[in-house]
Amino acid sequence: MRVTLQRVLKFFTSVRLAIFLLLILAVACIIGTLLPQSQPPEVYLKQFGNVGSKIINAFSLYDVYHARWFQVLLSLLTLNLIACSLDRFPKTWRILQYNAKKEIDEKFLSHLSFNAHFICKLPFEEAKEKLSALFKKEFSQLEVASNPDFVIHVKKGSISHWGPYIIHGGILVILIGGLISSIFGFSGMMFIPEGEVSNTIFLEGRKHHQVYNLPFSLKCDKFTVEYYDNGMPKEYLSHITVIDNQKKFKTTIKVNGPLDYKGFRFYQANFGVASNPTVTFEVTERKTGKKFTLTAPFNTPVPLPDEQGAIKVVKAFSDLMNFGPAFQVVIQKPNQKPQTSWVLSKFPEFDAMHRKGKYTLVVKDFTRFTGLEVKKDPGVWVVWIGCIILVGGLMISFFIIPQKMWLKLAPHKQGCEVWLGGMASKRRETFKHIFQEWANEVKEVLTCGT
Amino acid sequence: MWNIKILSYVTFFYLGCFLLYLGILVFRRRSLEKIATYATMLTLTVHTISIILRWVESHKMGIGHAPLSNLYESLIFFAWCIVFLYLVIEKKYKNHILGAFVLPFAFLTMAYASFSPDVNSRIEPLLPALKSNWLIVHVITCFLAYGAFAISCGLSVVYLLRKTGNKIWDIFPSQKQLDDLIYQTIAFGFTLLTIGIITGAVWADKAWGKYWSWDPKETWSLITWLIYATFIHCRLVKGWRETKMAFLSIVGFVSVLFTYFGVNFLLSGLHSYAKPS
Repeated sequence: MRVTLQRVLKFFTSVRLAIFLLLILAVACIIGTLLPQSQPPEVYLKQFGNVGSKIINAFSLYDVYHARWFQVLLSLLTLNLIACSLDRFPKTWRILQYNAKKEIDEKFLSHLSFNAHFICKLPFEEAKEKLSALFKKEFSQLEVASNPDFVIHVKKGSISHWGPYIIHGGILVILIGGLISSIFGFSGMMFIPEGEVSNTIFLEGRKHHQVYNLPFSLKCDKFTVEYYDNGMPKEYLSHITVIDNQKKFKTTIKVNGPLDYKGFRFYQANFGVASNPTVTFEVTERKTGKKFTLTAPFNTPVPLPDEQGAIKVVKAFSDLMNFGPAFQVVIQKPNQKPQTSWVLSKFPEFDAMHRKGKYTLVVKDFTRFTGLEVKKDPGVWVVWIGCIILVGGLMISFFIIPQKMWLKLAPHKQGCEVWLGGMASKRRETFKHIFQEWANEVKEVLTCGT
Repeated sequence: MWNIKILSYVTFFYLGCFLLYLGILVFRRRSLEKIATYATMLTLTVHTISIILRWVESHKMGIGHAPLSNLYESLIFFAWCIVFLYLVIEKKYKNHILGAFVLPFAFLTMAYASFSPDVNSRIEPLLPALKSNWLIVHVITCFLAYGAFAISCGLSVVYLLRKTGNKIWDIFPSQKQLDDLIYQTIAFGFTLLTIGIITGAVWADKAWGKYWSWDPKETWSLITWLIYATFIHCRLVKGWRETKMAFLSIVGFVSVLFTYFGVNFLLSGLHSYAKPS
């Protein structure tokens, strides 16, 4: 029993498992990007045949990132991350606590992985002062002992050993934040026609097909699109009034400029023709070229000026076969069959070219709706805090190099004798470079030969 | 559009710099080292000036924005990052011949940006979704990371050549030094990639309402991140060194290239600003 438990523990604390999980997650992500996600089953059946679509179904490959096994992998990684950290902690603690045996002699120094030895002309007392000054300037942690030999022990950058724990802690916090987001958060869409008030959110994701009612309402006063000179869109703007009981205030929502209110966030996401729009036409009389405007509320006949009939908007589309906003109008004339036609707002000449009649129509304006993405996400701050911890941990881990050195100084008949030793518990190759620089500096300060 | 013209010349200057570094390798002339380094520094200066010029020009057109908004501008900046980071490494390690394996990346990137008919080099106004201060931080961190990964890939190639034991390659730093250098560039790149992904997430949260939406670009940057995380773990804990690591670093860079180009060309998603037109 105990053996099995140990085996299980060993399995979870192995870095092999971590590497395996990282690579498997990478492969899962690759599948998720190469295989079209969230398509109806027919699409897979058509593209991958019977066997292929069965495999896709069996492993929920149609929605990799939300598949049960993907979540199991993430949970395993989390467990592994915690187990590894706990497993390694005593080792790190020992490295940090490691202070060489009290007696620092030549033998100890020469056994260190990095060492140097030189004899200098400078008198012993003078050398002592110079060395203390040199190391005091650069190291915060400094121990000087002079009984019986003069010994300096310096170290810095030990915090670097905490780096991996901080990094993994950060990742853990991010994962927790993600979990909070997915459990307690929700998002959905709001569609508000210009001039109307709404508090209804159509939820997305897991709570699909549900409706959420906000404790306050938004009124869309106007929706506008601004363009650059070359016709590219510059800004999508919703002019909104927030109505919260007696409180009312005006604000705008644009792309990259969401509205935050009472824990909800509103994003500019969409727009289009309102479902029952009032359309303003510019009407031109073909013969005379006389122009006037005509405002037609939806499905309401509006009389034409010469009392020769009426015009009625019967259908409206935000995008008709990629031609953009389109309105179907019925022109009724006395004693004639009603004439039905499309008027396209992006193609002002369309009506004049495709329809005969006394008047030609051009769309001037119409009622739009704004589509707002609404989100409530209590996990987002947890995620950001995790990110800050993660980045801090990476910096500490990668850019601070722990340094640990001992120096022994003894009088010599030519002046003084110096033994320098260093230990790298991490980043040997870089520390080698640093140690060499220190050796040179000591030599320079003491004006020694070799 | 002066900047575009100058940048196309810069492409050839980089080719020249590459040939100089190659010259050091072939002719073993130490005197060429200084010339190659100064030539590269000069080219980088011209490169920097033309990026600034492009910025100024966009302001003169009344649609001012940092030149980091489409495929052309990102390629130009990618090449800039590679050369800049290379010069920093060269100064720090006082080895002048790695350039022969790094500058081709810069030259090819510039050549693709300047001469491919698929890459639109005009200055265009920003789409509403790109109008954010996060654009600059996000793009700069991501491309510095890509640059570091490109260099580590070049170094890994050097490492593998060095490993063949052929005397020609003795001019390069020792295997141990190379190994350490590869690790350092990857550690730098990994940190910046992490910051890049995070700034991207913060921005996505502000623009799209979701900090993570499994968009192909996001997912591929995560894949790249996972591969380099594997690299770091293999090295730190398993004590893997040498050939395997060099290969893993090259695989990582392939993933970077896919994140950068593959996603734009082959997969569609929210992140389609850098698509060729």
